[in-house]
Amino acid sequence: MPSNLHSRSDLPPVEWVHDGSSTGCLCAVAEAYKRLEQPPVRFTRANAVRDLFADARETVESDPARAERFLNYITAKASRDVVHTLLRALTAMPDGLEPHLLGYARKAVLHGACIVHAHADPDVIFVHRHARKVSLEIHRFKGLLRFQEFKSGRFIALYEPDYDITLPLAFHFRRRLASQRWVILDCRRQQAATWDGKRLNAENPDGDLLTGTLLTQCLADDEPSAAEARSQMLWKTFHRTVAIETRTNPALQRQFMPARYWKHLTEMDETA
Amino acid sequence: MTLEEKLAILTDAAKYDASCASSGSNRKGAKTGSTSTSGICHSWSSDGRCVSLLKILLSNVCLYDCAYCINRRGNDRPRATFSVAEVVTLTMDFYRRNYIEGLFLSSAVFGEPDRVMDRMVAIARRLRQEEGFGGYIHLKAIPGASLELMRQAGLYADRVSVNIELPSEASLKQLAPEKTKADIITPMAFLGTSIRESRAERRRDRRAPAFAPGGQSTQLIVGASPESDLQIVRLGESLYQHYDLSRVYYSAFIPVNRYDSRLQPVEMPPLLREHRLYQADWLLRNYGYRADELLSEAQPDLDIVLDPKAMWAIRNYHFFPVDINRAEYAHILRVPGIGVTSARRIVSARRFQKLCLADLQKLGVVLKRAAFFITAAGRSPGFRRQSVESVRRVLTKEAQPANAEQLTFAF
Repeated sequence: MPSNLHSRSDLPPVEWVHDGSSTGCLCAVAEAYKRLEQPPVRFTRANAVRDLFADARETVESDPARAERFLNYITAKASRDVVHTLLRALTAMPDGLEPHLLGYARKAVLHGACIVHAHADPDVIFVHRHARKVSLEIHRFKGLLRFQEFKSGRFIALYEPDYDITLPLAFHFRRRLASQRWVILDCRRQQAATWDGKRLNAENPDGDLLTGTLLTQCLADDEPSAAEARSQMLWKTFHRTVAIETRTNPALQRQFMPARYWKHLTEMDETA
Repeated sequence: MTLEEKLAILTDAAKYDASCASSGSNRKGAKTGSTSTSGICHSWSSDGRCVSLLKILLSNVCLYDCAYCINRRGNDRPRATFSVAEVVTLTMDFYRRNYIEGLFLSSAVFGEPDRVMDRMVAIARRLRQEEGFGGYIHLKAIPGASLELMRQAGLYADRVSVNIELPSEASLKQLAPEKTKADIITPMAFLGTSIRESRAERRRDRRAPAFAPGGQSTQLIVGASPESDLQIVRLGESLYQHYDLSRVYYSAFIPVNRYDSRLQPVEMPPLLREHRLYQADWLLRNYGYRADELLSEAQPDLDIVLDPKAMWAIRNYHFFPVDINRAEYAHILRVPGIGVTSARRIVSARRFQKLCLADLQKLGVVLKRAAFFITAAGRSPGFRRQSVESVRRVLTKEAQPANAEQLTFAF
């Protein structure tokens, strides 16, 4: 066993501070991994209340290249599936994720790709549970996203997801609605993905999601087209008529289609 | 008649079809649209059923007089027929807005079966060839249409289905006098063979044309005729075995024609019976049960209070306890409270560590049911502490939902 594994426990516990982003979190975990930190390992996000009892505090810089190197390492030792799961859990970023992420990464390196089958392991349970929540929301919005046709000929969808899932959704609709121009706008985070028929987020030189002035410019001077109201009316007619009255069960409807998503659902809009 | 009125009439006429699945197919590279293997639900209507396909009839003008059907000739109802162009435009308009996963097209029999089927195939062809549509298409075959039209339907659609309508030939003769068993079984057998051949062909060459990659399904009405659950479950089993069906749908009979003396008298649709049949169907397809394990001539109907899996476990209490850490997958799957997901997780998780009861709970096992049937790490918390009778009592008590009739099965 390497000598520093023993020496570490003699030192006062370190509290690893990162900026709270996925990249920052990964860098902090990578640092703790590299230093062979033994549990309990403490992490703090910059905006959170700090642990008063930590004796030492080390801030880890957020470095995209380092985060990527760490993920590549895990891909090589385990699999892309494992990394995919880690990234989904990072999207959820629940409290207390970091120690579990560290544990998961260690076990992934130790056991390889089959770590995803260790369903009784506490780290695996934690990471999978939160990764699954994000995947579920992505899957739901593949169905629940509603596009409206605008005068510019673009189809624009507004939505307010719990997690930041605009990019994975854009990948889905890039295949599905390849021949039309569209915008997916996350109203809560004020960011959007766009598709011009050839490229994703062409308006942004970096190719990232559109925010701030880029977003304002992109959406300026556009309103729903004349044909839009008619399509919405037909859809509402269909949705109303397809229900069987003798089997009415609103609780079941709500279970699959939570009320917090209704705001942007054409068919649940009672006004028109 | 406006398009909206037509849509209302032809949606209303199509809503009793249970199937809405959009799964099993994986189409890529089309101009507009794709399908995903898991299927995607786009909305849920107020009855809690999912809406994934634009489910409409091409026409509700019908020459037939089936006793159970709302669209039968004798009923005084508004009638309408879509043109090919109308269905194509509606589908594309809805699809571009992500309202739907695709089209589910069925029809009443307004003329010669071939004429009706030909128009349905024309719609599918136009969607695929002219609109470059890659979404899901489910076509309902018209009994009595030619096999050549069935073949074309299979080439354009992701799923083709023929409704078997009723659980026995005698009931079919009585309630749907214009349809014959041969009209239904011939296309079903043809589709089954074609799907099997196409799958084999595509294993050899990925570029071979797909024939109904989502498979075929069928639907039958429960409670309109006097058949027992045993007959229905056996029928389902033989359909899965002989015709390669992906799904059999059971539809609780909704008495739309109250004064037809040919029908069994029903007040409310038998929703709970429908639910139990679906449970039995799942046991056949995913759990490796046989119909004669679930039901027998002596006990021809499924228990209303307890689900079929719990009933089997109580009748076969000598089969238990199952050792979670050693038993094979098929045996773990027989434990009430353990489903396919938890059984798979158990089998893979126990390679890493010995599983105890607390672990099982974390894996998603419903311990308050499973406890009576398992041992884990040397402990068997509920097994044989009580008699079979008391196990039955406990499970029964727990199985009572607040409002049993509200149980609705979701697709």
